[in-house]
Amino acid sequence: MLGAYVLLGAVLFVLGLVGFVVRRNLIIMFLCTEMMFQGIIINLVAFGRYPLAGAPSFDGQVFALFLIAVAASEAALALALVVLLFRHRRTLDANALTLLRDE
Amino acid sequence: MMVEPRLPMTALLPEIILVAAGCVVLLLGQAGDDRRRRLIPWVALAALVLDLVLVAFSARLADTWPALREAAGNGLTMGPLALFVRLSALELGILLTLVNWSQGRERERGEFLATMLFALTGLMLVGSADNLLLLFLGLELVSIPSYILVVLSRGDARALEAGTKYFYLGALSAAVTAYGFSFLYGVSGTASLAGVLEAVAQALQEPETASYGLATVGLVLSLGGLLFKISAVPLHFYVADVYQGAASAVAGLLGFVPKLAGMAAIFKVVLLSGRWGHGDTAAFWLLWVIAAASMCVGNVLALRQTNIKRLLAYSGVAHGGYMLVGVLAGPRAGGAEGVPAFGVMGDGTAAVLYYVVVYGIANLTAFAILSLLRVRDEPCETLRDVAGLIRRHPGLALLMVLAMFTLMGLPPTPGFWGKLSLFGSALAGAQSAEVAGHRGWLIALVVVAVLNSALAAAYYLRVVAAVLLYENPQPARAVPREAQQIGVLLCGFLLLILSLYPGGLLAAGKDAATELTRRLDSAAVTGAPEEWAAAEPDRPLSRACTAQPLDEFRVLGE
Repeated sequence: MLGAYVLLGAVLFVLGLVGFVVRRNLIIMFLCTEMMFQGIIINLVAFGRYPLAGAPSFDGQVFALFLIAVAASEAALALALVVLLFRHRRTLDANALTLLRDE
Repeated sequence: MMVEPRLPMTALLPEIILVAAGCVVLLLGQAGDDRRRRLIPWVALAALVLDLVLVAFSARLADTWPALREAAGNGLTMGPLALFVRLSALELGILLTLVNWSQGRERERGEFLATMLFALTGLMLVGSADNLLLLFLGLELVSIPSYILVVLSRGDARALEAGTKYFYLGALSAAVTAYGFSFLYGVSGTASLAGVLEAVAQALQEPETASYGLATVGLVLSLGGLLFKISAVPLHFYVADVYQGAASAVAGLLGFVPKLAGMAAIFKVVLLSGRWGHGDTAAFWLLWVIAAASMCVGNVLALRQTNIKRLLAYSGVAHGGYMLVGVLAGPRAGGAEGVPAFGVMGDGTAAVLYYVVVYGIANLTAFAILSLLRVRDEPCETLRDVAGLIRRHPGLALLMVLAMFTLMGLPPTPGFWGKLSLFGSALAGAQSAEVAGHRGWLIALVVVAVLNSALAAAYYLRVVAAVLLYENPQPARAVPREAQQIGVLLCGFLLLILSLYPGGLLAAGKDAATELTRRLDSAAVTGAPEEWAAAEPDRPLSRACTAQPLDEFRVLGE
């Protein structure tokens, strides 16, 4: 049973990672990191239920709850940044962030 | 399963004071009148000084509050490592408050200083975290405020762009770290670092099991995410943009707070493999490649820069590489017979802790000077801007030269002592490495590091030459801001003290590293294969053990 859950978590994580690298819209990129966090949460809960060593513990579920909180605070920051950026330059394309670079 | 002891509330007093002060500062920032808003930096400074006194004299206060110095429970351990991280975080925190005294827009100063206090709290928690979850939360409490600090520092489009880049890559690296932590948790079934260490060390001794694979994946992913914090190579390209976009004083903060947090976390994760310098783990090769790549790439990129902020940013990448040399040497580098243990040369982790603090101060000095200088009312950034500084501000120019020499590692400066102990302990580690294949590779890494230090001198000397030798009809002018000037002076004073008496900080680093050795020993005793114990019954690792593991050790030996 554990294998299936870990596989699902890995699929979500890798999809998020690929999306982060491939997509250029800042909102989509942020949603991709959220998807990576969902994969991690599935992983944690699965490992909490079926640990490889020792008895099942609640540590994984507690970790998952805190990860949701961390992801929420990152979401708040991401939305604030996106709103500010859109006001400044009317686009959310990551490739348009070119004020700072090597000469 | 053991029931963990509870942590007394007094053990967390320094963190509680900082968070409370952060909340007060946040509220004061919303005050309508200027008179109250002027109190903001004073409140932050007072809290930091009070905390520093509390932590520095915790030995004296041991009668009233013993928990301040030694306590464990609820996933936190107040040991020597926590003490070192707290002390250096608070000392640098005072300097950072002075340097950032009037940073950001007037209306946002409360938010700015409050987020800085929260980031320092996170750093202190990383030092004492003894649990995967708390380690991760501490790291996030460092990262999320630092993204905000970058954006708030100037409030213009460039700071916004820098903050966005920093945030997106930071979120990615946090996810990678958390994914690694989830595997480490899965292998051990507990989040407490002692339990994880035991299970992972056990799993790594049984190749071709599922646990072995998951433990390796977990260690590599956790380290990969943490390397972002010390701006090591694969995720280094953001550094220059972030440093350039943020105000100079905040760039000085980014060179210390995330780096020390990342290093403390890397120590804790490398420790989980249970065989620092004792085995052919994937973590060794990962760190080796990244250390070499960071030094070379960072220095080569820095050579091409004319903007001092970008130059210092890329040099920070190279410094991350130098620090990893010490991590590879490990806390027991000088353990073998016949290797002289001179200073901290036998202890790579102590050298790293020393070096992070010295690098943090020198980097902050350079950025604080840049933030004081103005050319035509614009902040000073390029080599051309600082040209001929000695004509108008000889004091600042000499401090800039001192900072550059420290970063370069010229003999009397603390940077030299740092590099000497880092590379010396790597050589000692090469002699005592138990895997024969590691010896040559460690020596090769030291050769790469020394060559890179020589290469780095080229661009630091360009800054020195610009400041001292170039002619400039209109040199940069310093703004009259007392707190910032005091901050710069204090930074320079600390660098001078550390050049003359490097022993104090080195000894502090060495004390902090005893915690790592102790944990490593307790893992080696419970998890080592029997032939180790049988072959060398009097290994130095029994030295720091408490009574109980020592008994188990004897049983294994007999």
